[in-house]
Amino acid sequence: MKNSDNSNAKLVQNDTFLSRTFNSAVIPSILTTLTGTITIIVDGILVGQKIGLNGLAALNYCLPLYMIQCVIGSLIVSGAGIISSRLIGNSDHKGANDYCQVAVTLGIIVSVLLTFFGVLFLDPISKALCSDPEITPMIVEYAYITFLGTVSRVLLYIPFWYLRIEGKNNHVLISVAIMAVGNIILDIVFLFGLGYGVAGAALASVISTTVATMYGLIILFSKKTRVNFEFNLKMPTLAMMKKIFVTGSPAANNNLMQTLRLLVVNYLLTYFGGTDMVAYFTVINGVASVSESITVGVPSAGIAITGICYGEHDNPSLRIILKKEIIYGILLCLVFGAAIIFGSDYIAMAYGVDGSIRFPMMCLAASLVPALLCGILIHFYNVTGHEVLSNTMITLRIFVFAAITTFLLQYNDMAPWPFLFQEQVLTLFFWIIASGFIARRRKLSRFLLLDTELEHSGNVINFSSDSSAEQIAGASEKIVTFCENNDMNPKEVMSVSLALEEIMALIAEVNRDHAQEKRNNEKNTVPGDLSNNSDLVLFDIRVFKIQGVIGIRFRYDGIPFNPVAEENQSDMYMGIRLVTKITQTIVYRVVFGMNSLSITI
Amino acid sequence: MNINEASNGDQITLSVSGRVDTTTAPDLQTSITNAFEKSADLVIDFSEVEYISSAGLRALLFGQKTAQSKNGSMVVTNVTDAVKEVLDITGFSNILTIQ
Repeated sequence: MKNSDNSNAKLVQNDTFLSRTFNSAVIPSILTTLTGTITIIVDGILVGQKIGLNGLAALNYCLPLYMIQCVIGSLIVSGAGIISSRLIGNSDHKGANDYCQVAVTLGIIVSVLLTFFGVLFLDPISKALCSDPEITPMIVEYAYITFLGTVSRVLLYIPFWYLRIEGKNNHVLISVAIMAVGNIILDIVFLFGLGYGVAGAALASVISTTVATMYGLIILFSKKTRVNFEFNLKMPTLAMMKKIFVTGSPAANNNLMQTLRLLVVNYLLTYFGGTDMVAYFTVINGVASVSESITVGVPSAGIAITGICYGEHDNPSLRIILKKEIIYGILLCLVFGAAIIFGSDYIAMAYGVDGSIRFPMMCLAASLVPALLCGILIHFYNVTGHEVLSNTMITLRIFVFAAITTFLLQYNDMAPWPFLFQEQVLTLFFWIIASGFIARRRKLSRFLLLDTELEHSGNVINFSSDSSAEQIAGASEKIVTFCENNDMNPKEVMSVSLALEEIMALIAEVNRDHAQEKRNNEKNTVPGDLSNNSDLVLFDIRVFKIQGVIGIRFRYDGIPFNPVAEENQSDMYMGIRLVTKITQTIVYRVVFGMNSLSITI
Repeated sequence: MNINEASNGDQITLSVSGRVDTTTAPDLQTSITNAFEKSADLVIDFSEVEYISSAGLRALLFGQKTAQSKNGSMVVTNVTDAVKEVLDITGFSNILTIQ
């Protein structure tokens, strides 16, 4: 007779489910960053071609205005977004929604104020940016329209962040593509067609950004497509504002440091090497900004799911996501690094630069992996509440070490380009020392600075399963050991075991039926064969007993399906009807594009 | 799950031990079917059954219907407290004969 006992095998979490989730986010994230970068490059080329050096200079002088908008947007929205993802992980969906609404409200208020004062003090601001009488009028034109576009520029961050939390990474990419393609088309129309000058370039940027923002907000909030977030205006409390600004500070600091870096490094290169060096640096910066599609894009792909897992105190899942980011990112860095070294002559040709840039490209290639590691750690610490460490690493990596190493190399009559990887490596050395200090002081895990008390307590277990009958029955049986180790009585043990089996079995069956129906509707398909392993649903499950509360959290892929959406008296739903009678609460949500079901017993 | 079959005159007793779940319920159903081919009266001893899910309940329901079709009987005996609770919650206590 069949015996389902398999007591020697343990319940373990594998990375299959989280890999699938991460993989669905990483390509859109990389393409989103890349599209943004290419837009800036093409924008500059078009303006330079039509208006000339003065137009390019005016654009460059107005860069601080653009950076201020980015700082505001990233400060408010990344702060609120990270908090929202943590709250979702903590099953506080109302709280997550509140922070979204606060982000919208604060974003509108601050950007309207900036627009008002920017337009009011347009002349003195423009003269402060540049007092050259040939360029100032262009700055006034560009700045005026840029200020008018502040609201859409700032609110653009809302769908950028919150659509990622919803797992709608493709819509983020579409939004960026609208902005990029729209900007280029409108540049051509306004600059070449209508001859509007720099105002045309600003108008193209504002209109394309506004359309992209509207698209993103509609997908996020419209009744037909929204999932977790509802549009509304909500004034923040002081405590909420403080939390948002602290959590969003690394993103804002990053933008600020990038501006300072540009100013200081340009100055040092000019001082020691002349304008030729700055020209080379422009090429390197252009290529480096493309590489950010990997060094920024890959960690950005994991940021929302990291927040959700952190909110759940799910350390094993956090480690899996980090591992995916590192492996994925390193492979891409190696490919990109090889490409820029072997393609350095072509890059030089494209920029019209005389002489070889192979050595700078080798230095940039060497910097990619440490830059990736720094980027992953900075994002991770930002999400997991170590904002001070995150901010410190940003400041050191982007500004302090860049300035120091550039200065020292040139002061000693050496080429400056090794600063590109020295700044990253020095930051990693700092991290090794600082994280050791913090870990010892606050009794956290050594490098990731996680509180491991819960995972070592034995009160929580994470494991993975697929929807095969054997795996479901095996999970339902093996969980008994965990339950008994946590002093659950026989009724509670039975309830946990039953809930696991009945919920997973129903989800499996509904997905099989759906897959079969799909196959039946496809032409040239023979119905009835269910042996295709791709029909299997993947589950990541967490069972816990904490402070007397017994709970199970299911995450599963497959079709969006809420097992308790409606009363169903059919035979197939007998198990779920049983589960609803033995559980206290059952909550279903779609989180990060995944089905998520949480029950308490 | 293990099932031992014992015959006592006209009555067959199936002693079930272990878990009756998605993977093992079909075996229980097969055993019940085979038993009813030999006799119209069936006793299922659940003293060693620690767990039953809806799949197991369906197998028992099938057995009950088979018993009725043969004008026979099916009795489930020595049910543990945990299993009894499942039978009570689902209303199967009113459908099956439990002793």
